Amino acid sequence: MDRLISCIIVDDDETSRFVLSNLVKKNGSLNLLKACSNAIDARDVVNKMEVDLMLLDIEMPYENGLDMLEKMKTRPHIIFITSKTNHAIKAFEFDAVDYIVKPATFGRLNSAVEKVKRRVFSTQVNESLESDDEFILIKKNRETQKIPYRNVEYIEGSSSYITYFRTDGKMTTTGILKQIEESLDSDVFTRIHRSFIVNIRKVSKLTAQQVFIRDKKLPLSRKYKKVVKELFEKHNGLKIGDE
Amino acid sequence: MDSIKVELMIKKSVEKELGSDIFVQALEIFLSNAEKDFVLMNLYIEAQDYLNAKELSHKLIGSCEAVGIKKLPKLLRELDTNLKTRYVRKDMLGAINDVYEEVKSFLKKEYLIEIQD
Repeated sequence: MDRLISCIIVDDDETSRFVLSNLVKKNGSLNLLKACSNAIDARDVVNKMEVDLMLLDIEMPYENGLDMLEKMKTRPHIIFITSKTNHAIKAFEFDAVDYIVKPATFGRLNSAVEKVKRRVFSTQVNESLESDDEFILIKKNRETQKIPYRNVEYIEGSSSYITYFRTDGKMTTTGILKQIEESLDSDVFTRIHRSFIVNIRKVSKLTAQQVFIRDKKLPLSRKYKKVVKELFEKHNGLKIGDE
Repeated sequence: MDSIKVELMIKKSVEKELGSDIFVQALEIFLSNAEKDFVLMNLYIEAQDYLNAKELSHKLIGSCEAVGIKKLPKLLRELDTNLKTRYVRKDMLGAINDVYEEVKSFLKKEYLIEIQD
């Protein structure tokens, strides 16, 4: 059985918080940690607790929902719940799971939560499939570090430097991307561009020209598109429709 | 109160989803906050403090929609647009205040809600 999805509500309006809190409590998949009335409170909770999902209003005084997200280093999954539709495009730039226009109904909330569950639990399945021998050896300053695949999101090559973008920060060493690529498991790491290799398990979305890893957008070259698409489908057990 | 009047004032679907007890609690919160917010919004508009007035009009739209109030959000949206241009017609503000009073007395009567006036 799947664990509960921990969530917070962020809305400056007390009535909206109360109504939404009660809808959340009726959903058996959610565990409401807190209903926050402002961005500062919400950031504090996210920094201190394991939050999977944020149900977020956009228009709030002092600091709106989008500005708040800009300032966050790590973000939970986001469902926007707001009175206006005019922020929808901007909202999806934050890789929002869904955008609900008030009043949020129980049915609408449930369908959005199902999408969140698919994202949360597919990542966990992928991580649990990793074995202990899946790691990268990174040499830097006469030291060799062993970094598990699950901690590496993508790798960027720039002339003779390599930057590893990890879940907990980044690390730059000297090296050539082509050589790094050859040393990696091609079933997990794939080239998407002359300057980028991604961990396919970390990819949340693919478009014709971009690869999304959390809130980061990376360029997808035409040359690698077919291979990346096939690998993404293989890892997620799905078939993407042709554009 | 006849059911047609109720349907004109409020979306019954919200009450169905929340259950009557929770819904009445939501209305109590709504009315107690809206009462203060309407007074403040009027004062801000009178003082030509359109920025703060706009914040309140937006907050009120969210509150009304959360409990399924039908008439007010449309009017408040029009006000919201006017506040952007820093011009508010007196008749529009008057109409909004009248509708709010109508909604308030409807909710108090229909759901037996008591708030301090």
